[in-house]
Amino acid sequence: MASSPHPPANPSSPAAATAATAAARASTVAASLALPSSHDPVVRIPVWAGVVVRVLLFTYTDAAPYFRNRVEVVTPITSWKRLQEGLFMYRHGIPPYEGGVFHQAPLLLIVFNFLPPILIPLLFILLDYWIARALVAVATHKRALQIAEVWPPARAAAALDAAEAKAQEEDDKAQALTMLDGTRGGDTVGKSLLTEGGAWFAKHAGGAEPPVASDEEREIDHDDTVLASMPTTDVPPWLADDTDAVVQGKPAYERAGAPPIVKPADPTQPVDNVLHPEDVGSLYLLNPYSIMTCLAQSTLLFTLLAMVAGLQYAIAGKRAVSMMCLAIAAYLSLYPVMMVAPAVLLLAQRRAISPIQELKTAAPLFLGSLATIFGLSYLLIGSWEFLPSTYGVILSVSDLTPNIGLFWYFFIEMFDQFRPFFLCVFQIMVFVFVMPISLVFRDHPLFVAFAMSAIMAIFKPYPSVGDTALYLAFFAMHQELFKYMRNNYLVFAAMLFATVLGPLFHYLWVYAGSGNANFYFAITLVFGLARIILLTDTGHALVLREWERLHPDLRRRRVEIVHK
Amino acid sequence: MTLASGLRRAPSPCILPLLLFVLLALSLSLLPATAAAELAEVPTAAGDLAAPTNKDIVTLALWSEDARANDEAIEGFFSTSGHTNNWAVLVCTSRFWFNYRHIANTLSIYHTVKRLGIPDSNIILMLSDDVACNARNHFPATVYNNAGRFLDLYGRNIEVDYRGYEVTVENFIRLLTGRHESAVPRSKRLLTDDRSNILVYMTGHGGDEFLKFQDAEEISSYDIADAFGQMHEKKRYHELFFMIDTCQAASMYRQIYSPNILAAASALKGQNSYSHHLDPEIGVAVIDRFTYYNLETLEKLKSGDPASLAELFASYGRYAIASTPGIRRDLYPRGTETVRSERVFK
Amino acid sequence: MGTGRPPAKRPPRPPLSAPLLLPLLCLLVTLLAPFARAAPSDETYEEDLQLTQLPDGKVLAEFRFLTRIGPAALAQVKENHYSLLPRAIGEIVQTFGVEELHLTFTRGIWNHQKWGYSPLSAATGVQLWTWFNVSSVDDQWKGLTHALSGLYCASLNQIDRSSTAEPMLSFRPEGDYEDDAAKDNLELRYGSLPHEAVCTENLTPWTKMLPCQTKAGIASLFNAYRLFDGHYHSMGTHIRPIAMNEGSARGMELLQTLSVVMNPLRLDNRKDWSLSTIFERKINSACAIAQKSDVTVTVSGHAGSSFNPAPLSTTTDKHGRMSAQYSLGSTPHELDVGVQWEDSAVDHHVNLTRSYIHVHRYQTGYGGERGGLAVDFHNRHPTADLQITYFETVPWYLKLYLHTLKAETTANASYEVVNDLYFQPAIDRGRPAVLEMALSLPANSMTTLHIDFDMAYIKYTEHPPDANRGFDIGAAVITFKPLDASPESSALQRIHTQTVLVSLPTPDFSMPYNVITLTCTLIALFFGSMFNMLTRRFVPVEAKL
Repeated sequence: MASSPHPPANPSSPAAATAATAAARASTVAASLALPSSHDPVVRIPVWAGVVVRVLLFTYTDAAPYFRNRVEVVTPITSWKRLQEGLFMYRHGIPPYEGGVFHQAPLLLIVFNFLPPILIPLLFILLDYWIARALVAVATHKRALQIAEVWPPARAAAALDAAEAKAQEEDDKAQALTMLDGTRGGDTVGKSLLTEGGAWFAKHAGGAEPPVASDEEREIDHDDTVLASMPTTDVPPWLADDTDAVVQGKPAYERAGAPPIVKPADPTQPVDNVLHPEDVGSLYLLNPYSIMTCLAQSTLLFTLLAMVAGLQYAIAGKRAVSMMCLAIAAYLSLYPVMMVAPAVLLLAQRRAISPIQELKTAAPLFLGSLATIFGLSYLLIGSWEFLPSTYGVILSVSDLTPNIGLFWYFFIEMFDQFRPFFLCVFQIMVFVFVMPISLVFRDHPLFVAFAMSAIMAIFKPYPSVGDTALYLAFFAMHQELFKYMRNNYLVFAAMLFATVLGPLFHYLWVYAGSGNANFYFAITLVFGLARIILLTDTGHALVLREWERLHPDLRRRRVEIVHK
Repeated sequence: MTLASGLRRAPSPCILPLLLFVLLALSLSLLPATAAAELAEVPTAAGDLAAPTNKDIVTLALWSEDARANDEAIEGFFSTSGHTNNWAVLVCTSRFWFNYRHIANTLSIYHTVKRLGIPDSNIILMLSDDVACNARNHFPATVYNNAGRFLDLYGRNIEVDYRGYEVTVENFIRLLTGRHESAVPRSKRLLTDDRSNILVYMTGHGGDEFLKFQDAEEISSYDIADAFGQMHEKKRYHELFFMIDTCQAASMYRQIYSPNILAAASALKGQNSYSHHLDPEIGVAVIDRFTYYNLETLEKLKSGDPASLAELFASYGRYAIASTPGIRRDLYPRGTETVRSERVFK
Repeated sequence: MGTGRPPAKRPPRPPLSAPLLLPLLCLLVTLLAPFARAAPSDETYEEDLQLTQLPDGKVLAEFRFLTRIGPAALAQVKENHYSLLPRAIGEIVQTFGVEELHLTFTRGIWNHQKWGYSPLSAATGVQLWTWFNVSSVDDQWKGLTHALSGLYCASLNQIDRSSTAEPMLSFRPEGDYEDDAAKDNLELRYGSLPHEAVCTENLTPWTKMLPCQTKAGIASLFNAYRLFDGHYHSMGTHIRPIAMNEGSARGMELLQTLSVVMNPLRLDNRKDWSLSTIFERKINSACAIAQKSDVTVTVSGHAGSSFNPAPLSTTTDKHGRMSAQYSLGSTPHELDVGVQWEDSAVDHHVNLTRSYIHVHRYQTGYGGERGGLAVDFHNRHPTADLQITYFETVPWYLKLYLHTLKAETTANASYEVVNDLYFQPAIDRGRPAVLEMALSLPANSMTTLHIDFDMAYIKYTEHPPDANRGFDIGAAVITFKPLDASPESSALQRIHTQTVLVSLPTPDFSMPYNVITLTCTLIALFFGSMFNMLTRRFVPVEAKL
């Protein structure tokens, strides 16, 4: 990359221009930093509100037994009813895995064997609250990342024009190469960082040079990695609760003593809402999907908790605990093994070592934990027959009860001779993107976590709305991407329709008999389509935003997507 | 398998004289010694006495002074068509009471071939529903093919080999090609060899190049052609007469490519095949037209009747059947004029 | 068939081609005739017809054909020499290591409320249970079901592993064995086909196993048109080992039974009947082979009834039923027994002393997702608590939840109804769920068992061709010791519940291609978008003016 045949476009004039204004701006910024960046117009709902809703619904309504039987909410591998059956058989000395009903992990039997029934709803509420707290912890990290994010300012428009004018004279091909070159104008960027962001960095990093490449050989892409020590209380001016105020120059409504409004000096830099971590927790807990899952007492919550806790501990740098949590998650429902990838990336970032190096330590820990858990299960059950009855059922999709996923109807209708082939294709489909996503988005481990949870929620054989609740929480963390996304209306309208029509069509098919299986199947397709579009749209938004961030001079240009 | 059965079925030359001697001795001992003058008439008489299947042998055993009679007897034994046994596979593919006529069609042919002498052990009867003891049947344990109800086709001596849910495309093709599980009993197998003439009769609801089985699956003309092809490769038939009574029936024999197969169908492609008449007391149609008019000829056949298949085909009336029956002769070089109907259905 | 073959045998497919067959058979018969006459004499054959007019006017005809094969004859059977025992049966018993076999074909349901209990009542459809004395029981069971399916023209081969149960409590070997250890070594398999049609093609091979077929003896009454026109029809084949005399060598007993319930009132609304009115046949002659050939006519309330013709003797039992005995050997030909009544009043009341247990099984719930199976056990006996064994086998596609099993009784809440419970969970496509319970029914009470199930969503190929009809769940078996049985008697009475028809949710059977196409489109969309996202980069569009 650095061996560009052309020298960077003349950097002197824009650099001088920005340097001249830098001092003046820095003082304004410094003054504004003492105050909140803008007035917060949003009423924040506390996390415990979701807990209250759950307690009320458990106590005063019959929602819990209702949702326990909904195909959208519970699946054969998370059903509370089936767990009870397994528990009953276990307590009465009938091997619980011998039959075709119970497909859940043996350690769950232990948990519920000793739990008094009165505490069971409380346990599920607690689990959900715990997930929410872990999500808050993850979101806190995301907030820190957001605050620490560096937007290299664009050079002066004149300089851009001059550069273009000069570039016009250049050979087209060579020009294209230059444009593609991420290191172009590296020193310009370095200097310009001393403007607004630079000042902010200077203040908060104790006067240290902002962690920006001054070395021409170094790629910008890798500079914005985690700044774990970054204080999260102070928010840079381009992150605001009231973005309207920042963009339009006045707050949404006037209030006495409102702080002065500071806009980012660079008009090409987006103004984003600052992430309030508690919001992610409340969003998760107030999400109807997660409320339904909790009321149904789906054992999926154990998996979700183990997954999120794994990420939380990875952020905190606790490698062993993190890997143990993920091992539990993988043990409970197999697919969370994919979450090892973002956890390893997070750990590597935290320790500032390469992910491969991190994996060398983390993988044995993960496998060791997994082996220990399996050993415990073996001791508990006394045989390995739980393996085919849990993971066998997950992998071979032998239970074709409808859910919101894509497997059930496909394999009801599949011709017998092609069944193994499509089974392999579909299962590989779930795992195939782990590696590429982790490689391409290695600087955005939380996005990798989001993508993994989304793929799991869409493509695992027995998905339920609980999986969707988790990935929507991860989605909410990436709110800076919203303005780059194109299909939000379509996606959320489709999700809403699917959520409303799904139960309706299921009723028409199974109870009223006035519809057939295709109705419900069509709705699961719509739901799947919405979630697939959401996932890919978010990914594109991230790529586009990163490109804009790292190409300050090209932010105003129309871009197209090409193979590189 | 072919080798083994060949050894078993075709008596080797050294056994044959011995056998003939024994038979000769046996039959002569049965006959009155003074019957020399009646010898010329004996073949028919003996044929009527013994089971029809064994007529040829008995004929041969009665050695005559008349050279012509001997020649005929020898020809009869070694059978001009070169076959030694006859089999029938009769399939009704329709389920449900309103398809009564398809069961009646199949049972009519069953009755005919049994009357002409194919034993139950050589008939594979597939009926996909039970209409005889159906609660809707006003006449329990009977199936009639005529509103006059002269003849109960179910009788008191019926052997249904595949019935109900067992009548599937898979089982039908397994039956033809002989690829069964080891546990399947002999009565459910088509134990034919290259000396066997087979009548395959199918009826049900079909369309262009397919025939529905029980409203749940279809067999295509290619499946049938390939099954016959495999039968030919495995030497499972000598000659095969494929008869099908369904809509667009002629499309079902289009793809057949194996030699020595003669096919007759109730309707050409694009034509429907209609039922003949309704029995108001049973409440549904009791027979299809094509089968009905076939039976008109076949029911008059007697053992040893010289009527040829060509005559049977010539008897098909377009207007009576209300569709144009299709005959496929190109795989059957021997020609239908020389084939005695009685031998095909026996 | 009618090709002049020896009547008592139903030979398998001739290995020789048909035209060669008959002379050879004649030859064989001629050659073997001296041996056949030397058949051991420890074979006996008896036949017995019991005609009972039930209180509601219906006539129950119970035919029993009992063949006993002594040890000597059994030894000859092992050398492929058969005389009284049908060859097909002998071969099956020997090939598959069968010790005991009970096979019934039944149409209709035995109304034990009105008709009392009958040892010949059986579950609707086909019911088969067999004790094996071999090691590889599963293979032998499969072979046996296939062989029986060929023999009886029934779809018995569809009793596969997923519908085979191994009951623990309900069935005990019924034959005579050396000791209990011999009994314990046997293995039991139970299967049923609740939806199997029973018709002439099943009756024909069954009658061909009778020594006189339908040509003579009581079997000459078999008129398929009438037999299958009754309210209830059940034919059974029961094989068990027996001790012929005080020796250790055991023989074999083949009991063929046929019971049929006819309704004389249907014809002219009169209770009068005779063989010729209900069977349209008379008994022309006795079967010459039969050592005993009896006909018994029983009427319950005998006031105003008269037997016709006059019986050899009459007896009255403790329930006030009068029986008339006839013997085919000593009565003239053309026997046409019957009963004449002075009035045609019928009694539809349930006789509680004769049918003190009544069981009713039904499905609860609605919709195609969940349901429940409920069984009401009525013990109508005023004083006696009854011990019964309840045996239920439920196909795997109804997923039973054992923890939802509830037993409630109207008598006394503290009464322990369930004494013992054996539950074998189902395996998908592998085996059915088996629920066996020893229950104690308090006197004069109703006990209800209820268990929830989920209906499985099964592959479209696993649905029967008439998928909208649903799946039949075979009858449950209730076994108990009759109250009037002596304490040392081991005779058990079985009654069977109704079958239950369950509709599973069906997919759209015409959809395979559409579903594959649509789902794969979605997958392809995902794969393509992700691939784009991961491999493509943004470049600015060059302004080329």
